[in-house]
Amino acid sequence: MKKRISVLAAVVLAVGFALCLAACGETKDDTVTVTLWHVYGGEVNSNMNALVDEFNNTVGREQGVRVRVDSVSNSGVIHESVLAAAYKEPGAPELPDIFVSYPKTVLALPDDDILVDYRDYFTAGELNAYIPEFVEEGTVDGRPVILPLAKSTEILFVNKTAFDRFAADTGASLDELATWEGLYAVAERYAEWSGGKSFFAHDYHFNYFQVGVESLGESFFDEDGLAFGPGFTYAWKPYAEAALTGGLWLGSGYATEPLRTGDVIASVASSASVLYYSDVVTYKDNSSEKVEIISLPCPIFEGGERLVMQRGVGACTVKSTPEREKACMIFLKWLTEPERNVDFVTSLGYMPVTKEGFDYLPAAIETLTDPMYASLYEAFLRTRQDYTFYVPPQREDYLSLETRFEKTARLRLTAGRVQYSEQGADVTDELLHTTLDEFKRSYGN
Amino acid sequence: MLLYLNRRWGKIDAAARGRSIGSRLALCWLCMVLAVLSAALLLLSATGVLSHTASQFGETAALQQKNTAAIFTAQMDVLTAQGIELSNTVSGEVESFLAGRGLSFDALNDNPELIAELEDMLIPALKSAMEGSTCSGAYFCLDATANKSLSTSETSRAGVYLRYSGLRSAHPGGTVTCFRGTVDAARRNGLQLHNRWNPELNTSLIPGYRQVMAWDGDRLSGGCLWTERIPLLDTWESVTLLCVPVRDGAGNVRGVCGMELSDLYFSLSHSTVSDSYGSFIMLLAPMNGDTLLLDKAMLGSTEGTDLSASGEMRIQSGRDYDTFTWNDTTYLGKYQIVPGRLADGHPLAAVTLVPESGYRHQVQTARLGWTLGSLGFLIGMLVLAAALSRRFAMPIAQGLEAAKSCEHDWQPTGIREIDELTVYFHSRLRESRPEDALPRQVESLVSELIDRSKGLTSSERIILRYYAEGYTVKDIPGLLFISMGTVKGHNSHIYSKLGVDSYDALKSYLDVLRRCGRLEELLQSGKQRSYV
Repeated sequence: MKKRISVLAAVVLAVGFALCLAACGETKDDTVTVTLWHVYGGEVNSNMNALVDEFNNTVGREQGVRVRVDSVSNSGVIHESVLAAAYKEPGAPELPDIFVSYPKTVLALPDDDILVDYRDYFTAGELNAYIPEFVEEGTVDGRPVILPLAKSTEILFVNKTAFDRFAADTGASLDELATWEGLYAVAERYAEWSGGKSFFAHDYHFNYFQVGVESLGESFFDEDGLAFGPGFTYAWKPYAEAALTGGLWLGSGYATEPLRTGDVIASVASSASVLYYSDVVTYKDNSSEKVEIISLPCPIFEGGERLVMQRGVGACTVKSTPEREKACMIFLKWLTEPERNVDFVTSLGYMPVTKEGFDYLPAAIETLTDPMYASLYEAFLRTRQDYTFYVPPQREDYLSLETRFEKTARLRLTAGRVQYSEQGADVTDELLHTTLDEFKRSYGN
Repeated sequence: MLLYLNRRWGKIDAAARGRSIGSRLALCWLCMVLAVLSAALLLLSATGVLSHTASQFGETAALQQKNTAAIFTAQMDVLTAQGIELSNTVSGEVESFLAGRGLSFDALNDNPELIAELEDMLIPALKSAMEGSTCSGAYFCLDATANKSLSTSETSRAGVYLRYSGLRSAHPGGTVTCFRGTVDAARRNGLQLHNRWNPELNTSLIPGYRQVMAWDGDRLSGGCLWTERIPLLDTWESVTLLCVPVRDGAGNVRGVCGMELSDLYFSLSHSTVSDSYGSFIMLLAPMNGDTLLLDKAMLGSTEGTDLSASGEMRIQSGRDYDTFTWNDTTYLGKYQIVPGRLADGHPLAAVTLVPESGYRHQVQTARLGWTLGSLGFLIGMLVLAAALSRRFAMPIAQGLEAAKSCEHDWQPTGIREIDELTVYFHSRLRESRPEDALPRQVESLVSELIDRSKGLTSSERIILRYYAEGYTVKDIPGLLFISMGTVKGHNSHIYSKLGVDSYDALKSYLDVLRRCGRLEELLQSGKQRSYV
């Protein structure tokens, strides 16, 4: 009897489970959508968006991950947006799953524990595949929270078509642009030759002083802010003189802008700016001219060390759920696979971030057909060979020091330029001193 | 004897009071019927007959669709109204600007400085219109160009196109960049140039520009139209533009103005609506027959899906909901045509849909819920039926055992019919016992012994009772205050009268009589006689 009951119970359960399985049928196959804020391309279409599409249609589709680009901007805008979101300011957007940033953004977060420690998802071997200095740069308070994706450096871009016209008249040479002293001297001559037009634009005046002062063997920073030592004064003189005479562009915004409108013909900017440089200059009468943009290594001070700024944001992953975090890691690992990383960086003017990636780089450079990119990577390789990369210190007040510097320097020198225009070259020496003093006083510490 | 009778009558009474076998059977049958019903329910649940998910989903999709259509209609209406206001502002400013200088509209051609001056004056109004609207950009362009000698002058038109840079939420804001416009006007207004800036607009990239320029109606609202989604040259974004005619005092159309909705802003401002069926996506798409032109559509947030603005989406109407097929992926939802004139003449549909997988998941969940509930109920009923059956069958087995045992050991089962049967059986057993209870030899022996006991004296009978009650020879002197010698004498007489040869033989006989229930006859046979 008992045996019969057991058999009956087993049959009922088996039928029941079979029906349950039938009822379950297909399981829900949800795609995890992760959001991304990046800087690769800004308002311009870039290879990053194509890579995201490729990922979504291949690996992402297979593994149920979809990356959605919610913002392509610059690191400054992303910095502000991330902080607004992290501080939950009114009207601020939600933090994305992945955003790119410099350590300064992480340092300014109310709690850097909101970011994933990459050691939780990368093995030691996987992290060792990256260039150690790049990983170190993204390590904040002992936690690797910024994964390197692409690294850049500062490069001198020159509108060679316009420079050749100037050189033909004045005898100026590109070799003079190898040093800051030479470049500013050329800038003054250009302003005179062109009737007051600027020759040169700095993307970041702050970087010029920071790297310049360090290259002269002095410390740019002190505990309270900037040191303002003799090296700073030395760097100020040719820079301010070019600004007063009109050779240096003092407008705000990125250096690409005046180059595109023909307002300047040379600029020092991130190698990644190459994406934003157009080989067409459009003038005020709506006419345009096709020009040749060449790249040269960043100028140095005569007798100074060959130092150059290392730039390039990395990827931060915001803590969420294990599924979302894992989805982010799938994408980031895919993006930094050596060969893909090289394809990615060479389309944007960056350096790869893995040791193996550098092995693929020479072959990738040979395939570049755009002369602007070919010139850039030639300058890149010369920079890598001849220069030492400078990494800015991780200071919580870094962004504040930088922002204040850019604004104050431009304002003081613009005011000085007005005085120069009114009073003439006789007051140049006096203005060099007064603008520096006023700058220091306005900047404070 | 009285005690025995009391116990027996008590058991008979209990048997009469026990629960009826009929009621227990009815309960058991009820459980079995419920078990059969739950099995049927299980089958129906597993096949999805019971969960009306399709109609429920249809109702939910219709509700979402109603909201989507209302949101899109309201957004387009408001932007159109703001576009008309912008058009009036631009018209008025241009008129007064030219009138103040005694110039005709054509004076703008080949005059970059004049254009820059006019744009400089109009930028604040354009910026205000943009900041007061729920849009990602605003523009105006005038039918004039700074350099008519250029080969592109036929499609190059002066104007200003402002856009937000780095939008990240549904609330438009952030840095305003100058996408199109003269450098001087932009710089004088403190605007950054867009990375892909140009001084003038390329009208060949604005579908409907010629239609608007050729419009000659009375009311501006009649000349408004929307472009399909178009890529923004050299950028990663796509936009749809509202085009509103800009007229001069004589009513001639002198340009176009309007607002921009970028695909990024559209997706940020129309996030998915989560429901048990998944995330509902909102689309605003041109329709061509039963096809949605997704490559020209604006998509709300597509979080959690692979849907992108490319290709076409076929619609198959259904009773409860419509089925949408795109790139071998199926979506379910609803659509309806909304007011709004597109440049290419296609009707514009507001669409609400959800991936089929989400719907299927909900169907499976509902079905699983019903199935598990039914299965649980079925198992419960079967367990209950088994328990009742066990409780029902066990007393019967016990009753049978009791019927086999001696009457005085029997305990009522609680089932009235069984207990009554047992009582009846015992009574019949008692009646039939002299003839049938014992084997003939044993019966003969027992009867002979009882017969012989009639010759015992009262003293011998007392001693015999003590032995029957379990006392031994050694106990008797103490019990009766007689010597052992006297006891032995009585024993000798008892043995000889009963025909046994030892104390052990006597105990064995007493045991047999006890088992047969006739011990009392032996011990009382003398008394019965004296009574008689």
